[in-house]
Amino acid sequence: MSSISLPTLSLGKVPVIRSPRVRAIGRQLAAAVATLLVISIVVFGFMSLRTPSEIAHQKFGNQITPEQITAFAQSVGLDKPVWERYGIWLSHFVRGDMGTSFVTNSPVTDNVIPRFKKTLVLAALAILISLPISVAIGVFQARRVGSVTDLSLLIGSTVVAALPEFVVGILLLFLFARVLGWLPTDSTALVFPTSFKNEAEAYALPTATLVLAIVPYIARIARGSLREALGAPYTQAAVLRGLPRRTVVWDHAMRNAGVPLINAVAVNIVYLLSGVIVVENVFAFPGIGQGLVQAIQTTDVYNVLAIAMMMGALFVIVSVVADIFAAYLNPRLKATAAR
Amino acid sequence: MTATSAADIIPAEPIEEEGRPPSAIRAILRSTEGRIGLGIGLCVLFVIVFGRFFTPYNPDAIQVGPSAAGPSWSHLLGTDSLGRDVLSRLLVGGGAIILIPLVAVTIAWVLGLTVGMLGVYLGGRTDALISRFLDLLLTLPPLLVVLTLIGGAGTSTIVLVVSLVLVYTPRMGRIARGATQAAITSEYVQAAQARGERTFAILFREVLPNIISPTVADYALRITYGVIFIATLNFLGLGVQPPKADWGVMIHDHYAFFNVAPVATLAPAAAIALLSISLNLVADALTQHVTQGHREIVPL
Repeated sequence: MSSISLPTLSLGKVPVIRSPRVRAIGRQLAAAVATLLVISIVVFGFMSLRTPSEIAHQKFGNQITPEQITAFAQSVGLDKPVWERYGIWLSHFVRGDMGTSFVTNSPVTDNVIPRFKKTLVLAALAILISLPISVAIGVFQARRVGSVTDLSLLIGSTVVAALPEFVVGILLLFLFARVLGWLPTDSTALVFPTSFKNEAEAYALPTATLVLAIVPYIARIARGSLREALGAPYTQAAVLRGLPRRTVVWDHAMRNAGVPLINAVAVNIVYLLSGVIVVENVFAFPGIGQGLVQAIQTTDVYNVLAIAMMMGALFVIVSVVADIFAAYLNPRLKATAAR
Repeated sequence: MTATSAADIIPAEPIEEEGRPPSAIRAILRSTEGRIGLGIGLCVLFVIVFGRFFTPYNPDAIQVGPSAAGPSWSHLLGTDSLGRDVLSRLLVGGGAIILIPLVAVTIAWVLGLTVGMLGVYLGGRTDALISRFLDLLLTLPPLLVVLTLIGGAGTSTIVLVVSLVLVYTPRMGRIARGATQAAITSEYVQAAQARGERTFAILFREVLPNIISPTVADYALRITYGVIFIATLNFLGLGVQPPKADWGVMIHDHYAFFNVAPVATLAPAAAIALLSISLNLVADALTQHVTQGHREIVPL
């Protein structure tokens, strides 16, 4: 390990790398890159199940001749073996070139990047709104475990969590757009937004739907982990010392409940964020989720791949950020680092 | 590493009543949640199974009424854009949404149990290899993977079943593996080994009965996820294909006319919601029964 003796005086930062925290984060980053690679291989493999002739038929119609199919396959490189095509795609992708769609004949970047920005805003809004709400609900419940309020909230969250995102979306749409008429029935205004109000309105219902999908899950995890912390000996000790309840809950219990909570959020957020695919299709929101379904319906391989990578990156970033938070909160890692 | 994450779901010791696995039905009926869920669920199942005998119109016949009209006395839930009777389609449209998850999750359950038990029992490098592979599959976002599989292989009942199996097998394998690990160190397994029983006899007679109960709760939960998953795929237009009456497909087909005749969209959405809520309540009652702790809680 220390066979190469680095001059510690000139490189003062070297010992930091030994910190378990940084090492844990480094491991997470390596895992993140590996995940993205696996996603790209699986997606490429699955999408390659379509033969060039099927793709050509879908693009040019059924009048196409076998010669034309061969010419088309050659012109876009579909005649090469799968692994070779994957290699070409990957070498371009890591250099920032997403390729040109052979379905729409336009650069993938032009389609994907504007969509990704909108989805990013949607996902960030949903996470930032739902996290405080769900933690508040979870703490509220954990402090009165077994009471009528707790049980009714528990059943309520089970019911809301049981609803598929598109059903929640349709119900919100019915209520706020059709019955009350407060909000637009779709988010197509985002393609050419005219004013901030117009743009904000387009984000409202998709965000609300995602928040309703995320809150029951996280609130339940928060309730569980805080409940456990409230039952621990250190909490009893704090209560017996006569500390105010607020201090006990937020300072003693929450600090310990925080690590499993953030870990659980990191694991679940990936599945919850998949909800953007559904939600965007409910509201015709011009993000990558809508783009993904459209690209799949037209076998637009490069657009599907680019969107899959974007989505994978989004998931991976969110869970790495959560892991970093957990690493910083974890008292055990802190103790080792101090030593 | 894997054992700690599985420990959240799996109880430290399997609950046993005189060596018999606890009756799942009794566990469901004991909680209010479970009773409500079972009640709603049986009603929805009744509609799914017997609804086809009560259809006022032929569910696939077009132009039996005006296009995209609201509810009336002759069409209680109105008609869709092709003039088909929504009530009739609702009564026959619940089959695929429950059957596909049922078949797929059962296959995934059997596969997961096999992989999980074998992994632990074989141990060593095989176990490490199996765990790594399951972990690898678990990092893939399910909806993304399934959508691309459908994009490549087209959509059919078989593709839908395969994709659900693909998504759920690693998850169930992980849980089965964790439960087997807990069971394998117990005295009854050691006793069986001491008696000189063969590996498969030990796995089936000693280990399997003891890991069934945590996996049954998970099975119920996966069914509910599967129903939501298939309904979602149908809604996106990538699952069961249009001429067939299906709740998700009905929403997909009629969505453009939502503003004209909302009932034709809301009715199948409500049917999906009821089915999914009832399944979830039942699964929840089962999970709570399996994972019930005996920890003292400080009331704060």
